[in-house]
Amino acid sequence: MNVLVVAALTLLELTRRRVLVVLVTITLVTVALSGWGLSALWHASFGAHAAASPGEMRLAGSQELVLFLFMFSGVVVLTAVAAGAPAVAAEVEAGTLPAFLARPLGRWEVVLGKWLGLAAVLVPYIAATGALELWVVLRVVGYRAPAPAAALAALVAEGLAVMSLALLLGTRLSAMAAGVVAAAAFFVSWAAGVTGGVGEVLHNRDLVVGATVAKLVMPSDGLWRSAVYHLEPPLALAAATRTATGLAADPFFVASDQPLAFYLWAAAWIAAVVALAVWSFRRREL
Amino acid sequence: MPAEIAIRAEHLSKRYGARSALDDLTFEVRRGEVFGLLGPNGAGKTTAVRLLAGLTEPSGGAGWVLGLPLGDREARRRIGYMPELFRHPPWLTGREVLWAHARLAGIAVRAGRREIARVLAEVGLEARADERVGRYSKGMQQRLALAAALLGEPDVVLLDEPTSALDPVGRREVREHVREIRARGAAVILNSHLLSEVERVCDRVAVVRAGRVVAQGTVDELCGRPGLRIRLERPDDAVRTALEPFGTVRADGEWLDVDAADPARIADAVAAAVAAGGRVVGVETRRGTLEDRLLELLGGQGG
Repeated sequence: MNVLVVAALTLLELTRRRVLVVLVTITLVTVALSGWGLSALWHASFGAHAAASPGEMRLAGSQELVLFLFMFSGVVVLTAVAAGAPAVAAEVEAGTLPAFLARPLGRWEVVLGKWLGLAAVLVPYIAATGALELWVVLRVVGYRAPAPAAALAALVAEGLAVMSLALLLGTRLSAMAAGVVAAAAFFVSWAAGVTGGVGEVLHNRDLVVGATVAKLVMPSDGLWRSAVYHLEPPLALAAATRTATGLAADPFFVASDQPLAFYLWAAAWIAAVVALAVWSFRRREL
Repeated sequence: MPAEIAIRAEHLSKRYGARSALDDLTFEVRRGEVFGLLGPNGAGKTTAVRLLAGLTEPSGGAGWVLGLPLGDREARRRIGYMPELFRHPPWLTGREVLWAHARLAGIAVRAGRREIARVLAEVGLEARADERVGRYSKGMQQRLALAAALLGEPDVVLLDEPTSALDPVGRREVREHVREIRARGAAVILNSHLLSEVERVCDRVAVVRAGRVVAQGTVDELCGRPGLRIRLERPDDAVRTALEPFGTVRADGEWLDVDAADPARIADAVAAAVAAGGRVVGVETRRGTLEDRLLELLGGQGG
């Protein structure tokens, strides 16, 4: 029960600090601008080449969609870091927790309540904004992603993974330090994913193994790649598996889905990070 | 643990790494009693209160609140705690802060509304209850912290420097609140640097030095019982003998000092001196101050 009280307070804080208003505004601006940009790009690319085949146009549409969602993924990560890092850290720094913790409120309830409150904002934000982007692409270039729900679910999971890590770090570090480390972990993971792709092309086992380890330690890049895979047109995927191994190095093209074991690992990873946050916060002297 | 004992600390200690914040702290507080903790900064008073509030775990020893071990959820439901650093989320209104406390304490919604209205009225914040706490003055924030501690009429109230940001009127109001809490049978621990405050409201006091209780008792017991000085034209042995039943008598020139005299028997002592033939020309009562006694116990260690 107290978990829900903390979650409600977290939601109220995000509202009062105008995070929700900012997110809605950014969403609307982003969707409008990306719609305009996509339209301009589409006409610049294909307006004078009516001879382009439907397959080429679908491939181009999918790549533009991936590009826009890549940028959105960056916004998701920054939002997850900005919301997750101070959730516990800022309250510890401000000294607002002891009076509440003297109540029959467990530390685990604080961490879980914060996580739930943040997730209650992040999940609909990512899902709604991602869905709007998909709709804009459909309207402007006529490209329908083959598995939009799976792609959005992967983006949501990516956001939750980064937010959980930022929350965990915030139980020990200052809000600023926790945010920097969480953001760095995401970018290192992404860079490791690209490097692993290059390793595949070059048949370099060390690079591939290193990237796999990075993907397991910080699953955000694997989840991002899953989102990309579910946005690609099936024909392009089929062609890629037959021919072009060089595509593995392309951060905006993923030819194969992540194995089921990876999704299970990612879910367990998020649960473990939240559990670690509880353990860490319980041991912290306030 | 007898039912009348609300708080018991037995050899409590707390270490932060190599630093000892509390060492072998032992005391008891009865229901309906106001117990003061005195000592210089860093003596361990706040650490003791935080241990009792369940905010930190002891490194050694044990403690019970209302018969339950320190940190027990049920005990914490019945504790009102006002921290030394009274910080509230600035984005909440005063009423919302109290709502959060009421919900976390398990007070039902309707009862919570009544309680919130009651404590807001008690601390004089009704008119500003729906403003964000970030706009409150320091004194108002301290009043809000006191209101939170009073929510649900807890059986144990822990007040850590409850008047540090209040003006004299506010301080007097807090003293009245403390007396009211005592009157309804709750136990109060009062941490304060204001000795006059402690003298006025505390039934018993513990002086803490370097994490240990170095003295404990009522203010009178700590300061020594009031003494009596009788000035005579010619002090003689007859008068001295007549005063001996009232306390230890010492001659000091024209004065006879009667140490530890019962204040209720001053008139009897003067009458005895007169009956023994003494010509009394002056009478004074005297007592050491809590401040003098505290400085003596702390060996001049500043706060």
